[in-house]
Amino acid sequence: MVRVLSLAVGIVLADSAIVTLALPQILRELDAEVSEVAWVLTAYNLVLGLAAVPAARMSLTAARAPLAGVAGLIVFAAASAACALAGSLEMLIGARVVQAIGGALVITACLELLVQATGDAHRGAARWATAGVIGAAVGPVAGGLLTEALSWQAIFFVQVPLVLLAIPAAWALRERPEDPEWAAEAATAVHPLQGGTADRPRVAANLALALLSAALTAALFLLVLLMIEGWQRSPTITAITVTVIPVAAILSGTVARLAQASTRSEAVAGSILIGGGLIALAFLPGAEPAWTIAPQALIGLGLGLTVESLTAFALRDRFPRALQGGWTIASRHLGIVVGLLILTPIFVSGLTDARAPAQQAIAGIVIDAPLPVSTKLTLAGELGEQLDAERGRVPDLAPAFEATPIAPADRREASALAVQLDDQLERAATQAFQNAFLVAGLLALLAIVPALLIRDVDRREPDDHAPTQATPGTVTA
Amino acid sequence: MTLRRFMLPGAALVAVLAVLGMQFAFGGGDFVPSAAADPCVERPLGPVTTDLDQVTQAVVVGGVQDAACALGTSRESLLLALPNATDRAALAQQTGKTEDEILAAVKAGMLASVDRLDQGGRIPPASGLVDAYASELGLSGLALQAVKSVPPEMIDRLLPTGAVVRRAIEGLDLAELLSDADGPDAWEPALRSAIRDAAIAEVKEQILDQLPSSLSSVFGG
Repeated sequence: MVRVLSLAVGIVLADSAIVTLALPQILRELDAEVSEVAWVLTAYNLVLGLAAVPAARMSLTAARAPLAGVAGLIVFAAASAACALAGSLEMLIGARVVQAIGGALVITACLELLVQATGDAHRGAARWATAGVIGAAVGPVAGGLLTEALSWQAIFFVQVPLVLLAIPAAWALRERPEDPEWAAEAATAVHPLQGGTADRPRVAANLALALLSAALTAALFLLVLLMIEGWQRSPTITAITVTVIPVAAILSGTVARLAQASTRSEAVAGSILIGGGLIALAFLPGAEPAWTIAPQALIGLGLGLTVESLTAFALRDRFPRALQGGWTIASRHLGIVVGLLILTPIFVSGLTDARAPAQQAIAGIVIDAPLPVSTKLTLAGELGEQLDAERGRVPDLAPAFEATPIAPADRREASALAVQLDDQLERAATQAFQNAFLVAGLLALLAIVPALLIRDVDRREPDDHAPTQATPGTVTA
Repeated sequence: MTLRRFMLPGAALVAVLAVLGMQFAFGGGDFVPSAAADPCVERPLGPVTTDLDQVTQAVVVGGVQDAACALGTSRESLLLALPNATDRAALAQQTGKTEDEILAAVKAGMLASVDRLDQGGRIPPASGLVDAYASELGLSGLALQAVKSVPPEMIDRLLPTGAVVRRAIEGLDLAELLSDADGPDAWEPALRSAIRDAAIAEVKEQILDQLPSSLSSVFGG
């Protein structure tokens, strides 16, 4: 029961970035542009962020949470199937909007359902936060592998049976006797539905989550686009490469245990790691995937140190739980949207700005290439056509060489020229993403400010406030 | 904050600095497209060749470089702008010159390039280019045999390569060439045609120069 509910949470949060690796294929199949296709990600995160708090209000009682959860799972599964069957970008984005509404219901209901299923408020909340972190980190890798093995549609088809598995578990929890905590909360009248006042969300922790989520989007979205579109690497290679982030995120648990640090120290350290990793991605020494491993390791460690502990801190002693969970989901996903809205135009303009230096570099190399004038002139014309046809993407120069008649004696020089030109394109693409990575790094470093405002408690110390002692309406940073 | 509270953020900072340090040590930040070379820095002359194609390339590339230096732009920018009217107009605005002045600079640059190559001994004598000339002039069979039987010294005297190339450049109408709708595909035949015309005119002039003035006037000299 706990597993299938955790799986549903993981899938809903994985969907926030699961299509990242499929975007280049969607871009080509649905004949879209980079700025348009980014809405497949943006729409989901925007609606999930906006719907999380209203959806949470549907799970404020023990009786309502299973119903809201089941409704959400059905909507999410149906919308996932619609995403897989979408024949146009507009249809796909529309289905993603519905999917996010279902996802908001699932994610907020599952917080309560996991507490009920585990029988322990902290264990349930921790399970919920961990499932979310793992889902968000593993999502792009799973999406990339499915895209490469089958198609981008497979990402959505696969989700349908997996989320439907959680329906019996959610439904069964209707029969559970009421949790003593629920009773305690009801006794202190903290339920807005019962006329009580809900605790205010922890602003500092949620703000830090929003800023870090914005930055983490860059780590996944921009890095994947750079590798597939800029460096022309396959989704499989890219998926394998970006597994560094989830692996490092898992290893961060060991680091956290060894350090025995407080939530504030972990949040500050994590922000430094994510910011530093993103800045390192802005200064890559080459276009080999290996160069991204160390920056990704920093980002993964930062992800593991921050998101789970900040989420747990935001939920600690805050009631009603579902509503507090809704605020953390809203913060994270609206943060992702802000990140996408800030970063997409930056890297799109970076691609445009990189065009002139790339053309100049290509022209210089073609001029000096040891090839006959006639070959160079034809090749220059073909290269010009490829560069003009890029439509905001990094061009593929191979067709230009295929269309140019090259004498057998000149083929070796032509091959060497093709390698040199590809190197220039990789350099231009890497440079095009530089400003976006730097801005994303700054967003992560900005999260240090709210992180410093967090009450400095050891995240593993026993809770100093029993649920029944929680003061309704308490404001804590 | 106790020392323990600084440990994790401090360790994070050290890890970030270590990664950034390693990346910069391996050229991080320099992985950008190659910058255009300074066109005002003279490049070494290429090897001595008897390939007319290579000579033409050397003349054009050297000429564009000279023109770019004179116009205050890069040879790459100039070459990219030349085939397209909009790009030419943009370059004219950027350099503060008219399009005619840009084309005149290219022509002057090519003539200077010929002089430089000629002085550096990089323009082969015509006797070494008989096959290439014959191909440009459309000679074959007996006509080619006849040309090949001419002593090399006479060929070199009748067809001084530098003068032929200079004449071909002077005869080129760059504005017309660049406005050709076929773009770069049309340039090579036009250049070949200019060289052929220049070679014929040069031979004619050299022959007329060798003739007594009375005969020369009969043949239109």
